[in-house]
Amino acid sequence: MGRFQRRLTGAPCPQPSTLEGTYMVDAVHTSSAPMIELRRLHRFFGATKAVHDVSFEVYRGQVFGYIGPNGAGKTTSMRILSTLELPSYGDAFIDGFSAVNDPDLVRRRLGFMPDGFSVYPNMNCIEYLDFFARSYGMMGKDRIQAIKRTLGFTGLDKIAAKPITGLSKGMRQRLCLGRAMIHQPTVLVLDEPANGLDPRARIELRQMIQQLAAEGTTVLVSSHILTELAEMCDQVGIIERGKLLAVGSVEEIRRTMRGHLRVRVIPLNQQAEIAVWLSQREGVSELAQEGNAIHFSLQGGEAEQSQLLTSMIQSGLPILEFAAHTESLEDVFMKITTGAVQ
Amino acid sequence: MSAADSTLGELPSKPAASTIDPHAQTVEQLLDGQSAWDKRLIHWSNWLNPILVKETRQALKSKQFVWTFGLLIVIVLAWSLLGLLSSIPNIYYASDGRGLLNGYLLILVVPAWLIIPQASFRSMASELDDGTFETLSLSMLRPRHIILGKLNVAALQLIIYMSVIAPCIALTYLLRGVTLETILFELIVVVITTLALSMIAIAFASFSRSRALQIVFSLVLILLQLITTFTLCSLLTAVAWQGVGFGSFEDNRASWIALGVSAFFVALYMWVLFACSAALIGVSSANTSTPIRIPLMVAGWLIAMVGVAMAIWVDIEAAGFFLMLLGVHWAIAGSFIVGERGFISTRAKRTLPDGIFSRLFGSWFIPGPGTGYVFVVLSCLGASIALMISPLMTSERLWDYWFAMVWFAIAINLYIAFYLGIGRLGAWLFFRRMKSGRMFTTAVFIVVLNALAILATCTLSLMSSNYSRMDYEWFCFPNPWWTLAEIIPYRYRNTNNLEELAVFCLGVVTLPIFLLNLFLSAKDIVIQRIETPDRVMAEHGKKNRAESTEQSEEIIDPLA
Repeated sequence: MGRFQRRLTGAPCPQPSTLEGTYMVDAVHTSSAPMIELRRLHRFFGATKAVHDVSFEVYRGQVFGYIGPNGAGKTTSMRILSTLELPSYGDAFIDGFSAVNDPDLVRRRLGFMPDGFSVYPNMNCIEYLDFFARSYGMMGKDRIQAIKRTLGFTGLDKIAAKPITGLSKGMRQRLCLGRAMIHQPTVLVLDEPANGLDPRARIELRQMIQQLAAEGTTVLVSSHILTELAEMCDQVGIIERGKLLAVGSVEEIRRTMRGHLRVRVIPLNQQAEIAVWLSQREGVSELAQEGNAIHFSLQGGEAEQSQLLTSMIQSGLPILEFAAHTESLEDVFMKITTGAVQ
Repeated sequence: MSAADSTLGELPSKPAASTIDPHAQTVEQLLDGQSAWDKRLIHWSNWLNPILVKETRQALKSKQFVWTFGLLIVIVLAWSLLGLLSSIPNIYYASDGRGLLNGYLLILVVPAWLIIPQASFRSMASELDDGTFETLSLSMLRPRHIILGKLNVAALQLIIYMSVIAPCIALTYLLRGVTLETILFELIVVVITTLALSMIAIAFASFSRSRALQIVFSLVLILLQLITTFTLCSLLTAVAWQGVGFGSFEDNRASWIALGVSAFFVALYMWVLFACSAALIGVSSANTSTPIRIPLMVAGWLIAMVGVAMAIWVDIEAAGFFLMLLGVHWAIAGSFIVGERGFISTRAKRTLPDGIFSRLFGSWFIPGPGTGYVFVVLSCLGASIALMISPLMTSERLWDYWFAMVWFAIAINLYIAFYLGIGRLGAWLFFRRMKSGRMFTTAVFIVVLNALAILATCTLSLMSSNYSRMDYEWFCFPNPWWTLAEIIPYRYRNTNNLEELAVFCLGVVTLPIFLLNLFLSAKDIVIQRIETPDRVMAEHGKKNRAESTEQSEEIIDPLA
């Protein structure tokens, strides 16, 4: 059974016996193969387990939000994925190529935007991009087109001749993103790209990431601004103290972690009767009345919610409003993480 | 074209900024160049190393370069005026070029030997310090491109500074007293020294991965620059005043041979430093050991070949000198090699030799301290044999000298095998778990071992003679058996020849150490090659095909 078949059928993958396992690259690469894969990734710094057994997959065109408190291991995982560091155990793959064994092939496909942006003195934006375009082996008109395209996309075309040292934080972030995408990578790894940006710049950055994803680029992005991630990410991974605590879409995580919904019902009248009716239903608990509204917990998910509403209407209960409280990514994050640091 | 490939192709519609863009022309001009010359230069720059292009752009805007260049022009003008005015009226009939030439060269060496290497060091060190190196290493530039780029920048700066001096040097020729040969000789010395110092500076910056190390290496570099400058300025002055065949050299031929041999060794060790620097800044999982061992082996063999040539055609004494040089070469290189980590990554395993012949000859290039030890001992032995037989290759067939060379060669090889063998065993016993700094620690361990042996030798020697004499040859000091042989009372010796006895004792002790190391190196050799996965091979093949297509279209990839 092939590796991808194993994954699709849910059969367990073989455990890598060594750091330098070569289990991936020989597999037939299909469009359903993950563009990013972290497999049993470990990174130890002495006794500190910066990354501890982290595994997840991100598919083409997806935006994956990597969330965690400071020192959780986000940057370390991203650096390993970007071939800047070696794992203590496990491996990371980009488009099926190992970051440990085939860093050259990974780098061709990858654009990495680190959280700190270092600049060269005595250079302007255009020279900076030109240098990196040359470094990626772009020549002649291709290079010029790539620079024009990047300047246009990042909105830096108006300040192309401005020295980098004179750029604002937001403009530097744009330039850094431009540098990461100058060679049209299929995977972008962005470490805290919105850090220190003003609201407008954040929105623009988010739009850029969404557009790149829409065009097929796979994006792994870490951020502390959870509301933004919630809006643009198809999947999120929550990491704390080096361990991946949850992974999936925000809704999936929400559902998995709570197992019940908090529902609010506002009846037209007959509050007491409705409360009694609800208390007799299976899966309903923690019933409380607050003014006109009745709050309760409902075991299950959206299906159970729909079923209950249908029953209420069929029973002829006068319902004005029926709403399940939606937890934000911040709520989920706060519930999952403990705030502990190592 | 896949969806991802077209990601940016349709993006101009995206950000709102470009509907009416008054600066669009500026971007066009900046990218394509404003004049025909600009366009041509931008086109030609496709052939250049990207680091060279970037750093040239930066240098042209930097205050350091502008000030150095400006000051150089001013000082050269001042020196020209001063020299010419002081020569009047003799200038019409006297040969006054020598003094002026000497002055110009001494002015040139300040930027060439002091500023350029420091700029190279700072350039590399700041890449590592500021974190720009990480973004750079994520590009398709290989470590060797980065190092070569930095070296190219040093060469370019030297060319620019020399262009200031060039008309003045032509003037000195017109003033008579200086031959073209002298000018060429002097300029070659300046160029070689500048490149060597710059390479050392880049290597030092690559080695210094922490702030403390950076300070140490920076100080060492300054010291080296000052020593080189003061030493070679004397040479430049002597050559400027006396011509190429100056001082103790018999004629011009000897000077040129000395320069040629020096240049050759400088180039050789620049290559070694280049390989070491590239290995240090490269990907951690790559096989960095083999690319260093190859230039080391070539350097060792070339030392022997130059030694043989010098012994045959110049002076037979050169054979002994080059044998000693060979010993020093392998002692220094081996001290680091035997401290290598034994771990070989999957990536490195893909590059291991396969097949009978490649296993037979290539196994000693496999990374690891055991293979490294055998590699050093065998390489030194092979090159020593070549040097050893050089007295027999002369027309006189110098048998006596050959006999002395045999003993000398055996002694040197035994020193190497003994000290490195102990060093490798020490590293295996004590530094096995060290993750970083293992090579350096092993080298220090060997130096300490050697120092203790020297101390013991000297002490024993003095004790045996009631602290009255110390009549050793210097190369006998690291050999405790020599001392033992000397202090053994005459009646207990089987032979009167101390050298033979000492070498025999050393050989007896070295043999088990060598065999033990050979046995331990089996662990490194048995590692099998891992086949490169098909998909990786296909990717590399795809790249190669793309490169060949590009070349057929007369577009040269600067990274190829």
